[in-house]
Amino acid sequence: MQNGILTVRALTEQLRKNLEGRFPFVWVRGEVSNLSRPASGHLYFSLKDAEAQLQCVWFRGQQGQAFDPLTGEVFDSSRPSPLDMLRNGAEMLCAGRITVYPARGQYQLLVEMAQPAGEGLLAQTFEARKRQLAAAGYFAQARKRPLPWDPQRVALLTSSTGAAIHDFMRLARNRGSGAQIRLFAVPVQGEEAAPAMVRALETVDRQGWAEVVVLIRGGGSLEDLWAYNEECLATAVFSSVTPVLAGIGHEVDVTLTDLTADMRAATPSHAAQLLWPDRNELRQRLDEALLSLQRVAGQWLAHKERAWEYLERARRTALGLERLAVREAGLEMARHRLDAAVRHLLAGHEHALQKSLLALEACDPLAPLRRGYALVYGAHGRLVRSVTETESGSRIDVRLHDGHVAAVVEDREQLTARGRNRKGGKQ
Amino acid sequence: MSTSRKNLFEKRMARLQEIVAALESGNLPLEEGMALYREGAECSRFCRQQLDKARHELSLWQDGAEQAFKLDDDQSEEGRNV
Repeated sequence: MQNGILTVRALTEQLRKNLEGRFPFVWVRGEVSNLSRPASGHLYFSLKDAEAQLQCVWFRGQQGQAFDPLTGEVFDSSRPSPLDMLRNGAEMLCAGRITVYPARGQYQLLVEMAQPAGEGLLAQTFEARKRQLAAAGYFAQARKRPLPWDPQRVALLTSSTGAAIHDFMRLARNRGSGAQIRLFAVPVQGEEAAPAMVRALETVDRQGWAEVVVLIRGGGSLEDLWAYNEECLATAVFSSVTPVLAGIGHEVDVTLTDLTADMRAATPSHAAQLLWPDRNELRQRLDEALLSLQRVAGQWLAHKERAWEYLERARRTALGLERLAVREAGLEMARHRLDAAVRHLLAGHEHALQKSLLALEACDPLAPLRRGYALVYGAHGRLVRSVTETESGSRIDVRLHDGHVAAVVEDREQLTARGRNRKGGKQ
Repeated sequence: MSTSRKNLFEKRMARLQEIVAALESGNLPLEEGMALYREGAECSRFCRQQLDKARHELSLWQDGAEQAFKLDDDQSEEGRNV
């Protein structure tokens, strides 16, 4: 390739060109050691494994990159600070290019991006699985069901000792109209977590008791939350008959369980907020309903009152008629009494009349005829009072009490005063 | 199973609103209207009591049986993240 003797610098320069050309961008995995960060802000450390080590430099200007240098993907949220991720002993994935530092005669990695080693693999798995489940329709909005409003029976899947259940219960305290919460105590991380939650979900469905099932867990790393990205759990959530609410980790943490659930809460506290309405809000609604009832009942009563008044007036009028009837009855009675009185009066008069008639009868000039007296009428119908008023041969009319006798005078004799009482004249 | 057991509070609230609507439409006989008003007042009283005594009851489902469960309040402090 060349002859003659090279200077160190020339050789180093050739090595640099070779290395840089050969490894323009690499991912390296290893454990961090000898980490130092001088005032310049650059980070110096070694990545090592059991057999070898690699010097690394992460210049300050490269530490805040906002996009993935490999894929060009722009990060949504700011990345964690490198100092938070880098610590001696941490297993890291570092990306960058290999170069040579001539002053020390060392090759080194110029770091452009770093992330915890486990997370990188998990993140890849997560993305792959997410695409797969999305294709299977797990996250479709159309299949998401609304949560029951102010549920009374809630199944809760979480650890019985974590902060999550405390946060959840604390927020729940002032919400809703009172619910029964059935806790299914499950591990929320580790190998056992996902299968245990799958079994609990199956139990919840089998019981058919809960109106909604809630999966909550406090925040943690992607690894900590990994159980919620297991396909078996996502599938169990997907096929759950009971609606599912998931509140896993912090707001930035999104798991496949969150994405599959009918509703996603940002945190366990938020889950309680989504589940139950504020109790004061319920009070307000109740107050409003009661006020409406009183207002409407008042209006209704006023309406009835008007109708009643109308009826009452009619009734009073009817009462007037009644009174008239009573008066009529009174009048009738009075008439009867008057009638009776008149009759009585008349009867009295009749009696008197009868007496008068009898008295009158006694005065009848013809009455003595019954006792055998007779009246004698002469010619021209004149009453004959003396024998001297008659002549022999003249016709007289003798009136007895029951009729007349026509007679002719044969003889006449005037009596003396003495014999007037012993001897009557011929009749 | 117990899905027919609806939220009693919500049921009574709904009934209360139904009664308001019925009274609002008017034309009810006096007896019926008074009965409705009484029922509405009763619903409201029930709901208020329900809110006043509202508590969430926590139980633990374990080994196929329901058991009483009480959270230890000391554990609610920060620092436990699972």
